[in-house]
Amino acid sequence: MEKTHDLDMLFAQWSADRQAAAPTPLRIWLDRYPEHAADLLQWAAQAPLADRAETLYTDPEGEARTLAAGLKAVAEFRARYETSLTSLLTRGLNATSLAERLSLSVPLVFKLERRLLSFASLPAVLIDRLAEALQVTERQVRDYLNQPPTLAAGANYRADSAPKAVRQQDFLQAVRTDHEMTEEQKAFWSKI
Amino acid sequence: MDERQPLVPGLPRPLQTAGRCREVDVEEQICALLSVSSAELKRRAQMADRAAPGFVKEEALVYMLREKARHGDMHTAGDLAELLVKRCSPFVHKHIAAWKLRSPSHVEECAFDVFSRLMQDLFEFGPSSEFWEVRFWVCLKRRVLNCVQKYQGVDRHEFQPDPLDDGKGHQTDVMETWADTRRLTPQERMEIREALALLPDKERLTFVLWHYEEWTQEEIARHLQISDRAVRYRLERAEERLAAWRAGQS
Repeated sequence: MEKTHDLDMLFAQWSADRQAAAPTPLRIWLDRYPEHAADLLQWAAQAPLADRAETLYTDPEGEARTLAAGLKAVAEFRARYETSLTSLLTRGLNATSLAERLSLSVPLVFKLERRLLSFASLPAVLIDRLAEALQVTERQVRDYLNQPPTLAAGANYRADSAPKAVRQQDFLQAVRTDHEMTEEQKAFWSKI
Repeated sequence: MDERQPLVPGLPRPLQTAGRCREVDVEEQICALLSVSSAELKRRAQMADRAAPGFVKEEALVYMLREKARHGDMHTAGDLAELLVKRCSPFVHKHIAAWKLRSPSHVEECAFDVFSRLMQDLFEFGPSSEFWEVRFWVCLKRRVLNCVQKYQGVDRHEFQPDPLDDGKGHQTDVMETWADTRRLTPQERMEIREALALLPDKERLTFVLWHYEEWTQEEIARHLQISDRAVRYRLERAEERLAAWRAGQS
């Protein structure tokens, strides 16, 4: 099972089963999915509290504070994507038109913006195109892209260790696995 | 193999993971929304009455948000994200509140982390995040539980519970003496749910496996890879904390 989405699916199945008239015992789930034993045990331990959460009375003040935290997260995210992308990288272009000019997809433009692609794997043509599209020097583009990857928006989660940025991906690998690019676009970048 | 699937005009993109599909009503809502303007989309998304015929489900909103973002309309995508956050906040609040974090700042930070993760997932277009279009509330619940469990650890670290001793500084060695094999009744299980938030993770897990899942001590020891003594110790500690909670309640 791949980590995130399959865990979501497993959690959905497990949650639905718990509501059944005769839920499947936890030990059966553990036998079926030994690789997710730790997750299943954690969910089981959390379940009584999660069930209780559904029954709590409405607390308008608490909800207002939660909503404020949520809107702050949205605002930070928007500031990131509606300013940094349009300031350094796009200069008046929106992400779609920049993606078109680069023969990339919008998600790949986001990855470039967050420096999630290994600088060493970026083709010179891409740097040229970026410099031209942004009307800046190649040096400026290189300086920007050759910095460490940025954390995802709002990724200041409280943890014992410092947050780690996502590992950088090889450009060609990102192109090959992109779900938005056309075959022609993929072929173009593969040939370079 | 090419993982791209053909796009049919007017129809939603198929999900990227084989064998997975959106609910029929979500697909229908998406089809209807694909042809409307951004302004109309936002108007419909603002509808709050879940029973109303035009109510747009969260899964459809996630799809439309991503569709807007794919086309570079980050403004509309951001507006939809804001609407989703507004819909979610009562749910998130209740799930955090159930865990009784003692520090108000932890509560706030936990909520912020949940929503930051939500934003991160909403704007990911790969298969790892597409389940939000299938079961939005399940995905959200899992994220909230992950976050709140982490903050509970932080909270516990900062607010050390009182040591369990006899008041004279003598810790009782309960490992050999614990012999309470009684399990809670269903009614007791319901009543005590609230207090489970007061237990450290390991004690809660052991307690739930014993009282809620009705495992044997040997079974718990085997699955958690701890000794029988450790199982008894955790159960006893949990019982003591819950007894203190009961005393405070009465």
